[in-house]
Amino acid sequence: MRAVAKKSSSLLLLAVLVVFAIISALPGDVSQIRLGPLSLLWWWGGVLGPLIAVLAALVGAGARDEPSAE
Amino acid sequence: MTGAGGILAAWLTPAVWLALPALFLEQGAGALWAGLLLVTAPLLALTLRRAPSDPLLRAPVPLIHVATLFLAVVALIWAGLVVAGDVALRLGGPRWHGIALAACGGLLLTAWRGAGRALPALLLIAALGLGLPLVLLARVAGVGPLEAWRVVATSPAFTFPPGSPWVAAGRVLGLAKGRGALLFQEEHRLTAAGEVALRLATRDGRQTTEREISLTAGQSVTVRPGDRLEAAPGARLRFEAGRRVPGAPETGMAWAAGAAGGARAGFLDGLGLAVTVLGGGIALLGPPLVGRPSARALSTVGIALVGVIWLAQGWAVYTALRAPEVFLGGISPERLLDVPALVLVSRTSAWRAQAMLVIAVAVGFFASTVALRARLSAADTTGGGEIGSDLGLWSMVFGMAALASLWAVDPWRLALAALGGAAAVLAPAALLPTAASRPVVATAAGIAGLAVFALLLLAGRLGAGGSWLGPVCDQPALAAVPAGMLVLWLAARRAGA
Repeated sequence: MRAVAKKSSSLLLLAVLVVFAIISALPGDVSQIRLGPLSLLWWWGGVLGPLIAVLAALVGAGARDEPSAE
Repeated sequence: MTGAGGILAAWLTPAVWLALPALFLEQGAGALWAGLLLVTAPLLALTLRRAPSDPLLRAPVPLIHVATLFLAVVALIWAGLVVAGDVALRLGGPRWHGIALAACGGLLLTAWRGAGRALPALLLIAALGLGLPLVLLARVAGVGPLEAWRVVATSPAFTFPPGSPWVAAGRVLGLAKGRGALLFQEEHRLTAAGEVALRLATRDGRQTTEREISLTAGQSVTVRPGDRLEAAPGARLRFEAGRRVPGAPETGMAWAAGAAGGARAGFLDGLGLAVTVLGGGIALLGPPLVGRPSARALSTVGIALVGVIWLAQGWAVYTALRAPEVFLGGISPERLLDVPALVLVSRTSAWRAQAMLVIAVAVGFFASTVALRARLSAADTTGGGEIGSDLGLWSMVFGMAALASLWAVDPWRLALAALGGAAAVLAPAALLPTAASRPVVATAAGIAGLAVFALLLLAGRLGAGGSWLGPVCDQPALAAVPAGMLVLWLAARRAGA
C-alpha cells in the first residue's frame, strides 16, 4: 500500500506537468482559449495545476498514514 | 528535516520567490512552467523519501554528495546576498550596505542554536510582508485578480500613465534595469530633467547611425521606432504619457500568451528547466533525508507553495495593470520595490508597503540560511551534523559570499546553477537508490554527474554552446543527471552479471 501510494503520488505530480506541456503545445493557440476570465493555459499552469499537485501529494500522504498491510 | 517551516525555508529562498513575480511580469504565460515546477519539485522530493527503517538508507552518504550540497548551499546563500545588495541599491543606498546587513544577520543566526524554532515565525513575517502590500495594490486597483488579469490580457499596449513619476518629474534612467539600451517601439518625445548626455542609435534601412546628444533641462529629443537609447550615468529624463513603455511586451495579449518568453521556448529549454528544478528539489529535500512529513506538515507546505505562486501572479498582474512603467528597460526582481511608490497615492502607505517588502526579503533570507544549514547538517552523518553550525566555517562562507555578491549577477540564474549542480550529483542516487547503495558506485556517479555539469556550464559561459547545444549548456543538469544515472545503471548491471 505504501509503495503504491508513493508511486501514484509521484506519477500524479508528473502528470500535472505533462498536462501543462501538452496544453501549451496544442496547435492553433488552443491554450489561449478563454474559459471565463483566464486562458486555458493560465487556468492549468497558474490555478488548477498547483492545487491538483498539492492534492496529489496529500492523497499519497493520506494513504501512507494508514496502517501498513506490508 | 520534516517540519513544514524547514522545508519551505530551504526551498523558497528570496532569490527564488522574488524571481517568480519578475518572471511572470517579464514572460507572462512563459513563467507558468517555472512556477509549476517550483510547486511540484518539493512535493515530488517529499514523496520519494523513505522510512528511517529502510535498509537502503544505512549506506553512508558519500563525501562528494556532502561537498556538492555544501557548495549548492553556499551558492544559494550567495544568491540571497545578491538580492540583498540589489535591494539596497534600489533603495538608493550602496550595494554593500544590504549585503553586509544580510550577511551579519545570517551569521548571527548561525551562532543561535535554537534558530530552527523561529522558522515558522520568520516565514509568517515574510508571507505577510509579501502579501499585505499586494492587498493594498488590489484595493487601489479596485478589481479582483481574475478581472485584473482579463484587463491586462486585453490591453492594446503598456503605456506610461499620466501621473507616473517618469512622466511628471522625470527619473534617473539608471533606475530602469539598465543592462542594455532602451529600444523604442513607437515615436516618443523625451525631455531632459537636467543636464543629460545621450547616445542614440537610429536605423535607416540597413544602416545604423550613432550620435551623441547633449541636452539641458527642458530640452527634448524625439526618437523613432527601432531607435536605441543609452544614457550617461545620472541622466534624468521625462517620458511622454500614453506612449508605449520601452521594454514592455507588444500587447497584453502577447504577454498573456507568453510570446515574450518561455511559453514559446523550445522543448529542450523547458525540459532543462524541469530537470534542474525537479532534480534540485530532490537533492535539497528528497532522499537520503529520512522521515516523511506528516499529512499536516505536507498540507502546510502545499498550501504555502500554492500561496506563493498565486501571490507572484497577483504581483505581476497588478503591476502590469497599475504600474506598467516598471517594464522600462526590462524587469529585475528588486524592481518590485518600486511598485508601491508608483501605485499608491499616499507617500506613507507607499513607504510602509516598501518597508514590508524589504522586511520580507530580509526575513526570508535569514530563514533560508537557517534551513539550508540544517539540510547540510542532515547530510553530514559522519560528522554528527557539525558542518551546519560550525561558526568558523560559516563566518568564512558568509564573508566570501558577501564579497562575491558585490559583483552583480542574476540571482535567479545563480540559484538555478546551485540547484542544477546539486541535482547532477545527488538526484541520480535518490532516483536509483539500490544501485547507489554501494558508496564507491555512488561516488563514481556523483563525479560523472559533476564533471558533465561543470564542463557544460563552462562551455556555456565561454559561449561554446551552438544552437543545439545551447539549451544543454543553459541547464547543464539536463545532461549531467542522465550521465550520473547511466553510471549507476551500468554499475548495477555489472554487479548483477
